[in-house]
Amino acid sequence: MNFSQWLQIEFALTLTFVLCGCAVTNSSVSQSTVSPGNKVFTPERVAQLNANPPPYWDAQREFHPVHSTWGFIKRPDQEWSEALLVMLNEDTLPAPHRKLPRRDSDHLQRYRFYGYFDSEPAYEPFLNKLFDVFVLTGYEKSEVGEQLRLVEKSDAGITSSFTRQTRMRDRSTSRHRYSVEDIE
Amino acid sequence: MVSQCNSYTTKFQAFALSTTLILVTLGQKQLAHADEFLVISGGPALNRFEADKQTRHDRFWGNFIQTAETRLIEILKKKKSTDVVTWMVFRTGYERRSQEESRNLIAEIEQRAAKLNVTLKWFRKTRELISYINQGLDRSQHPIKQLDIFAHSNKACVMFDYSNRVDGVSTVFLHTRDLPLISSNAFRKDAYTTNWGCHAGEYWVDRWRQATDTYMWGAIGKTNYSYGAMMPIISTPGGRWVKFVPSGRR
Repeated sequence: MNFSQWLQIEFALTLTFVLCGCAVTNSSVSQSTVSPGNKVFTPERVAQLNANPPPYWDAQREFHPVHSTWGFIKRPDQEWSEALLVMLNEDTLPAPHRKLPRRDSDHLQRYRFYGYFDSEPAYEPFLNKLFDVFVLTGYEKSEVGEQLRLVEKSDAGITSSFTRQTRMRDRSTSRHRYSVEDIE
Repeated sequence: MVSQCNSYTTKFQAFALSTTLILVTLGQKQLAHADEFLVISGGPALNRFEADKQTRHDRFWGNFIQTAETRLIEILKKKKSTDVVTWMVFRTGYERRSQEESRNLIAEIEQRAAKLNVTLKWFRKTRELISYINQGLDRSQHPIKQLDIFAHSNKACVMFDYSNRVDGVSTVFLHTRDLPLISSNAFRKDAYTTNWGCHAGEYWVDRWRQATDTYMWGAIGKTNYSYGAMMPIISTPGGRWVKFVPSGRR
């Protein structure tokens, strides 16, 4: 077998390996994971919220006719201006308003909440925002508070058309620091 | 003369061998190649969260199941015998609704998939879904030819979980900001993809095309799943199906 014969066989084998190899190369897509929807929502941040838990959390219900936010929550030593706007996970205990005639029956009612923050945020579709989720394990009724603020409107312009009505309603309020950020 | 003849014979043998190898390899690739039809179903809301709302979602638990079944039947009629049909369903949503309905919806969905003879794959997290799209099958051999998404949606986000774990919000979703995680290599260039959720034609379809290099149909307006086994229809007056966001809505 001379050199040219070896060359032909080599060529055939090389071609075969190349053709077989394509499948492996193309299929090895890098492992993808979904990033947190928002840089604020990292496991470290949730761990920070849950670290050194206070004996109870101060909470104030603020009902909104359109959004699904529950209200505000803060440590007892914090100002209400530092409170976080949250969703409630009711797997362990239903929210206080479930025992009342209507969802807005406890609007502005304050509570002492017991529980912890969930490791994952929740996406509010009308606001196109991510919110902290508080897992409620117990509560005590407290005094009635004053209106803190309505929910911040979305500036991204990518929420449903229904939100535009909400946005107009909410235009007047933006005096507090928010715990939420636009997802886009 | 004999030596020259032997040389020609050896060359011919080598040529024949190489040609055979190439043809066999190409033949194997041809046989192995099969497109995938992928149907995705999100989960239902819980009645305990929705019962007192003016706009109540998912009175019926199977909105995203029945419509997916209808689509799967259509696909089964038109697919080639070698094509793969996969149905991905958000399991957590049906587990939680099962408790509320006091019936085993998981078993029921599994029975429906078995009856259709399609591959059922459960998922709980969006990353599982994206991972399957990207590399669930060897995408060089099994690119996705058709994708249908049945789930709650707004113009920026498909929500596999909605009002199920937490009232009125989603904890498992695919937002347009995460679409770049989907590999465009997963799809055929002429893939036919549809998001059957509300408002997808107002923003989502453009972002999908940018991310995956395939066109997706989406609705301008809301879609209504309450017609049982019928495909969802647009319920907003003036709404329509589009694959480009109309310029006035960008």
